[in-house]
Amino acid sequence: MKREHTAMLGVCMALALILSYIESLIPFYFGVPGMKLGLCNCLVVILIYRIGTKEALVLNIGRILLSGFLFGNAFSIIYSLSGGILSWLCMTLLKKTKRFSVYAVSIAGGFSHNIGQLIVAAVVVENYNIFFYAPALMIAGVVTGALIGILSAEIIKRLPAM
Amino acid sequence: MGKIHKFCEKFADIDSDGKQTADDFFLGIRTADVMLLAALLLLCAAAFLFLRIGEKAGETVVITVDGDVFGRYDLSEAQTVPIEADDGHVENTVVIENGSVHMEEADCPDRLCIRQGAISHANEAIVCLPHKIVITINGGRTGEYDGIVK
Repeated sequence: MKREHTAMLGVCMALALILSYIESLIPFYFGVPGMKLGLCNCLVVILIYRIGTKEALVLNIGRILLSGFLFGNAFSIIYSLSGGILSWLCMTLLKKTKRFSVYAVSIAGGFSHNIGQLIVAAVVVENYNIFFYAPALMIAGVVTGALIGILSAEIIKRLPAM
Repeated sequence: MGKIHKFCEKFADIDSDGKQTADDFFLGIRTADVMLLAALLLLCAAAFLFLRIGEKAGETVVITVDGDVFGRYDLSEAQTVPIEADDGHVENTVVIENGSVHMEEADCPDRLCIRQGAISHANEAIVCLPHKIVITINGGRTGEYDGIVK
């Protein structure tokens, strides 16, 4: 992690918290729990491409803990953390293959975020019937991932490499 | 400014000769993207079909709290089930009517369980994550035969 990125990561963390707050204001709901637009994922994607994967993970974990304490509860932190780490892992691996564009990386991120959340939710409530929501969450992950991918790509194109 | 200028120059290069350098592989949709998207959508469809094929009319409502069975109820029998917390106040109220179940009231902050609406088919579920309550519907018999002997 480079020293000159410290200030940039601080700014990104502040931005992530603002996005978390904005997201908590937008009623984006289609009858399934845990469905969100994932605006913060946009920041993670940009960081992966423009600063580094390690920095993206640090930002992701940091903003999940902070926004969890500010706007959520202990459980929302557990769910978000599992989804966030899994989606970071998938995005990092896909980017490393150098075969996929930012759109596919973001779609895989949205998809895996929802799957990670669902698996941990099933373990927490100790009831595997909630996998009933899996198809809806999968589709939602793909759709939101695509939207975030388009947004991220447009920002990355206009942002110089750091 | 120099950095931005350099980046824009690189960007222009891609447009002119249509090739992508290693650093710019994120620009434009690639074949692998379409394949990944198709694979994920196929997975969604498979999961959807897998859950729908086994769908049958529900018969009993099972409420679990923190993994333990709280109670079993007949889906065809209209009733109201209050779920109490350890200190005795009613956390959630489940209503069974007209062959479907829904969460009528909840004292959690997000009330997502109420917004999940009513369920009526076997294996459908309503989940309240803050209170760890899961309402599921079980089908009566699993099949027409207990087993087939060849």
